[in-house]
Formats: sequence, C-alpha cells, structure tokens
Amino acid sequence: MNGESSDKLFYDAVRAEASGDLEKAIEIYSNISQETHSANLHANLANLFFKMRDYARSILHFRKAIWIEPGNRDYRANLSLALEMSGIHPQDLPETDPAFSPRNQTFWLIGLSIFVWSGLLLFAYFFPLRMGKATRLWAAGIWITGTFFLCRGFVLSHTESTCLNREVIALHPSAQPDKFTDGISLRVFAGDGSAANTHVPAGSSLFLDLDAKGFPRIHQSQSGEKWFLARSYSGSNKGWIKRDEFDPVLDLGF
Amino acid sequence: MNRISSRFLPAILLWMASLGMIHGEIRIEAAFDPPTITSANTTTYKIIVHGSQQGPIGSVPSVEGLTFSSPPRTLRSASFINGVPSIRFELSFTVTPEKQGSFIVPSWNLQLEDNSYIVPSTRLQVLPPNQRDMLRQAELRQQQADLREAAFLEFSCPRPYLYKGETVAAKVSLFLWNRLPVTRIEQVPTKIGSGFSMTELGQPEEQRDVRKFNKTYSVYSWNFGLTGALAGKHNISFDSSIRVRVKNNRNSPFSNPFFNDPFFGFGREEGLKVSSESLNLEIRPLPMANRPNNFQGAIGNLSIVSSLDMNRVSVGDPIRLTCEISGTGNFAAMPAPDLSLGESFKVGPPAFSFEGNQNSKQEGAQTFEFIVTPLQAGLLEIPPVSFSYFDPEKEKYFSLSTSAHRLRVDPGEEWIAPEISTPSTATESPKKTVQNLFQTESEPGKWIHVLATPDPLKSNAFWTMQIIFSGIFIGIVLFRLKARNPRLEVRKQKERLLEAKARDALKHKDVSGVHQAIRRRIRLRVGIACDHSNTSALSSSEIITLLNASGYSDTIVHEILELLKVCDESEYAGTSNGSSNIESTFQRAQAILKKIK
Repeated sequence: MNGESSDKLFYDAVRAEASGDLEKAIEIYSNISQETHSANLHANLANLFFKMRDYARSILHFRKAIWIEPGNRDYRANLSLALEMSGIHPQDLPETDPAFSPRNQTFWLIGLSIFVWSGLLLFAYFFPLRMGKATRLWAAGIWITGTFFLCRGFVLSHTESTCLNREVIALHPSAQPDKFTDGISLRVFAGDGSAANTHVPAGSSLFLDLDAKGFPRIHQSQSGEKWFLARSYSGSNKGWIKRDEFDPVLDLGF
Repeated sequence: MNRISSRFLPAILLWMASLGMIHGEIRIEAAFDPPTITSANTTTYKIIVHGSQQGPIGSVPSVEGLTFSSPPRTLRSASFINGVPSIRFELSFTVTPEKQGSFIVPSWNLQLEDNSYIVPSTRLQVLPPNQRDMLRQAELRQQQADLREAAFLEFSCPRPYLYKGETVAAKVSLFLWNRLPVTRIEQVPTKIGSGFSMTELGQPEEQRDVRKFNKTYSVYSWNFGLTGALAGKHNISFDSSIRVRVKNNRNSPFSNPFFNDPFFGFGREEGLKVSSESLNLEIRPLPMANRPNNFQGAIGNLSIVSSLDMNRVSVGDPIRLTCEISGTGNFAAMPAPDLSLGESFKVGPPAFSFEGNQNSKQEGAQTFEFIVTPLQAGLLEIPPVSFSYFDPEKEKYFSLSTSAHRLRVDPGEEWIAPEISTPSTATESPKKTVQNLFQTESEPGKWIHVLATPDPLKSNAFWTMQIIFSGIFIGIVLFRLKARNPRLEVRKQKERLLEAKARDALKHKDVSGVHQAIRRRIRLRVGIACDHSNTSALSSSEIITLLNASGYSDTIVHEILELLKVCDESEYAGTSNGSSNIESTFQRAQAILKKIK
C-alpha cells in the first residue's frame, strides 16, 4: 500500500464517518493501520472506538497517536477521558520522565559517545604537555562525571524503550465490550480452562515477560492458540493472556 | 544389386572425394538456365565446378538491371561417367531482371584449393512480357486488392478538425471477410500518429454479415475518445494484426497462400497486418479572445450542478459537497472546479468518479466530491461554484455557476460522561466530566511505516562514528609514541633545567652563572638541532661549523657567535658587561634559541 492509496482510503473512511457509517470507517482505518500509520489515522480511529464505547481500543489508538505526535494536547486530553471511562487509575499507568523518554535514546547515546571520545582525544593530544596535577584532576573529574551522567541518561532512556516495547493494552477479544463485565483475565496457567489469577480492566497497560533471549515468553496450546505471560506495571497482577486479548502499543513484529 | 549400388555409390564416391582419392582436372562452367526469359520471370545463374567438391570463394560481379539472390543454393554430386568417377559442385543464384535487354555477366575469378580459376562470361536475354505474363500480373494485382479487401480497418472521426484538448467520440472498425479463416485478433488497433491521444480500447462491438465491396464481413468496432494533443495538421491511422490459417503450400508462385484454395486448407497459422487509410486531421488551438479567467481546459457542451449531503452540522463535522458536470466533453482531462470557500471552511482534495461511456469518457457525468469541514459556527453560506468551458461547435467560451448553499453550523457538541462508580470512589460525590470531543481530522497527515522506538545501537551511522573516533584516537596515540625519543626527551629536560638555572642566576644577578647556562643551552640546543651526540664537548668553533653545515642563515650563525663570545669572555676572561646587560643577553639568547630547531 503506497502513500497515495493510503490517502485515498483515509478519505474514504472520512466520508464513511461523515455519512454515519462508523463500522465501515473503523474497518477502513483498521485496514490502513495494518500497513502504515499516521497520528490523525490513529486519533480518528480512537475517536470512533470511543463513540462506539470501546474505550480500551480507544486508549490503544490514542497511545499510538501520542507516540507519533507526542506534543498534541488534544490526544492527551482524550486519552485521559478514555482512561477515566475505562475505570483505570492514573497510578496504574507507567510514568515516564520526558527527559528519559525512549525517543531521547539517540540523543543520550550520541552525546555520551561524543563526550567520551572528545575526552580521550584531548587526553591523547595534550598528554605530552606539562599540566599541573590540579588541572589533571579537574579534567579527569569533569570527564568522569559527564560520562557517568550521560551514561545514566542513556540507560534510563533505553530501559524506558525496552519497557515500551513490551507494553500491550488489554482488550476484549471482540469489539463488543458490553458483553464483558469482568475485565480481562490473567490466568494461572496458559489455557482457557485455567482459573483467573486476577482480572484487569480492558484498556490497562500490561507488560509482557521476556525470556532469556529477549523474546516474549510464549506458550502455544494444542489448539494453536498463543499465550503470553504478562504483568501489570506495578507487578502485582500477573498471569497468562491470549494473543487476541491484547494489542501492542508499538509494532513488535511477533 | 543394381539398387544397392545405386543407393550406396554416391555415398562411396563422396567419401572418396572427401579423402582426396578422386581428384581430376578442375574445370568451371557458368550459364543462365534458361538463357532467355521475359521480364516477368526469373532465371537461374548456375556455376558448376567439375573435379572438386570444395566450396569456392569469390563474389559474383554486379550487373546493372539484374538482381542476384543471396546466399546461393549449393549442390555436391558424384557419378561415374564411362567408368570414370566424376565429382562436381554447383552454385545456383536466382536472378530477377529489372528491365528488358541483353545482359552479360563478365568473366570473374574464383578461389578454389588455393588456386584462382576463371568463371567464363555468360549472357542473358530479357524479353518484353508476353500476354501470359500480363495476365498473371493482372491476376496478382487483383489478388492483392482482394487481400486488402479481405481484412481492413476503417477509422471514422465526426469532424475533420478538433480543438487542442478536445475529446471527440471516434470509432475504428476491423472488417474481416467471412471467408478469411481468422483464428484470432492478435493485436487490437493501435494508433499511428503523434498529434493525438486516445482512451483505452475496451471490448469491441461485433456485427455479423455486413455487406461491403460485394463481400460479407464480420465487423469488430471499438469506440474511444480521441483527444487533440498538438496544434497543427496531423495524420492518423490505425494498425492491427490478425492470425489466419493458411495451407502448407510454401511453393506458391505468388507468395500469397490465401487464394490458392478457397477454403485455405488446415495448415499453419500466419500473422496478417491490417492497416487503415491515413486520415489528415487539423488540431486547432483554443482561441485566446474572451477566455474566462477560471477556464481550466474543459471543452465540450457541459452543465454543472452542486449539492450538499447535509445542511445542518456541528463545527468540525465533515460534509460532502458534490459538483456534477455532465454533457459531452473531455472528461478524462477535466480538472476539478476551483473551490474558494473562504476561511470559514476547510476543503479536502476531491474524489473523482465518472458515470457514462467508460470507453470514450466523452459523454456522461463527472462527479467531484469535496469533503468540506466548517471551522466556525453560525449560518454559513457555501458560495456558488463557478465553471467555464469552451464549446467547439459554437466556438465560444461559456461560464456557468451553481447555486449557493446555506448551511447551519452548530457549536461543537459537548459530551457528558456517564457517572462512573468504582469501589474506591463510591463514597465520593458523583462528578460530571464535560469536555469537547476530539474532532475528526479530514487529512491523513504524514505517514510512517513502522511504530517502533529508535535503536541507535543498531544504527550504522553510530558504529561508523565509533570507528572514525577510534581511528583518530589510535592515530594520535601512534603519532605520539613515534614522536617520543627517550634521548631527545632527556636532552629537552636538560634544556629546561638549564633555562631554569639561567633564570635563577638572572634573579640573583649572577652574571657568570647566566652566561654559563646560556652557553651550555646553546651547545645543547645546537646538538639537538644538528643531531650531535656529545653536546657537552662542543667548542664554539665546532658549534659554528655544525650550524653552517645544517644550513642555518648567516644572521643566526653570527648572533650565536656573538653570544658565545660574550659568554666565553665572561667565563674565562672575567670581563663582565654588567648586571644591567645580562637581562638583554638572556632575552637575546631566548630569541635566538627559538630559531634553532
């Protein structure tokens, strides 16, 4: 799907929405989002899900829209509204210091790299010159402090990035939330017959557990269903969840 | 026995000839067969090489009025003549006369087995065509005319002229004689002529048993839109090709396999190119006089209407404004009308749709659907949409406009959230949340293909930067290590000590101490600069010799000499120039020593 056809489909969806056919508009937007993304696409989709009272999917798509356009206040305000409607408390959400946001990983790493190498190059270049002991100590102190600060920035930002890559939004399997009242079950064992360890409201952020190789821990049942081990941000709720009961905030490639 | 010998004898003779066992005298003959023909016929120029079966090398001389076929047919043969084995090699050229008269092929040389042989001259007499030839030529012409009438294209255009950019409904028809065994139409008609553009040809209309030229045809017609692209007079014609079944008679004297048998037999398939006659059409430029400002290239006989799908909406709700242009005209090249709705509305790009003759796109209705978003509340008016076109029949421009639409735009809808009761907030008083909902965006914005966090550790640019920095670092370290010479370092350290000593002596007004330190520094610096190992043993004359040998300027050498003299006198002769002068001597020494590197 190229940009031109995506544009055309987008306009088709806008027309469908204008004519009151919300289901068709959602279908078209969803089809586009399988191939490509834009902030307006996800925001429109989130808005439609909100109108359809599927607040969990609305949260998911507002999160995607905010990831693409972090500075948009409308998206944030609407996300808060959707969270409120889902009954999700703000303390259940991951908090991120904007300075250490995953987007700033590159900044921290490049800054660290330039700082470390500049120090080493200056040291190598000026080594033969006679410098006072105090000067040397000051220079070394500044270099070590700066390196530590930048290193910490990168590590925090990288950790946030890893966390975001594991983050999924709990959803009801079908877009008819009225049928489900108990929220999403996190099961003790990876199977439909297993008792629920706990329940989380649809729209909650969950984090997939990773195995030693860095891939999500997956269990495939005999019927072919894939189960993932997930836990809440605080770690208090943990259990197995089916693939159709969540969607990742970012493209995870699995 | 005879049958066996007749079957195997030529093979044996050929085998013997190839081994060189049969090798007689080589003799060459040349002749036309027949030597006299009429101008409508062909003859054969035959060269016979007796006594060899090797292929000769040479070229037949060109004779004006005769055309020789190339390459020639060759024939090798072997036989017993009166009990003597004989071999020969024949070359045959088909010769076509271009005019009547007597023609002589002069004698020419032929290379054979590294020897040169003469081909004798030959004469050909070409007579005027006889009655039979003329009958045959007439028959051939008739056959060619029949062939043209058997399958042909007919192109029709409603007018002998078009305006540039105008689209007219044109038609091209393929006539196939019912007795022509056509298996399929290999290629639909294609346009020959660069001054025009045309719409794609769709499925043809088929008509059976159409009478023309006293023959019965099946006719396949394609309707299409023809648009004038370049002003001026241009030829236009059409080519097509069909596959027909022909009988396997390759020796047809007329190379026209279709008419030897009325039913054409059941042989192979051959392609047959079918062409239309060329038509000269004029493409006129559009007149500049009285051209409206909003004319965008629409040509035809058109009308426009517009409609809104809603007349009451809220701010930000998209509505559809549909403009329909109908009639006959160049719909394929017709741009959307220009909408200027002011700052009260945001207009998205239009969606196009055409209803009508999809083949020619010349007659029907073109719909432009705009998504219009009101940006402010109130009773707004969507102004009339104006549109201009050129009528090629009346040769005049016309301007049309639609009616204005009134639209009531309410303020943005407010959404009141239902009460949410959770266990923790059950005791709290119910709260009503009032907030404007996010409005639907009618533009998609910038597309991105992947939603993912950046991973700079997997970036090639990052690792390239590391490699560059590492390279620079290693380079500097290597340079420093290479530049580091322990002996030189010791000497430089000594020099720094001497400089400190001189400064101390200067501070304490120790004249001899200053001079001694300066002299030792000069020795040391010259030793370093001139790469002399034992600097402490250098005398003044040796220092001067070293400086001269190293190519230092006379001024520096002279100044060093002066300084050494002052130092020697101070140390050995006990003469002193006073404490006031040692400062200037020290500064002079510093300045000169900087020049010696």
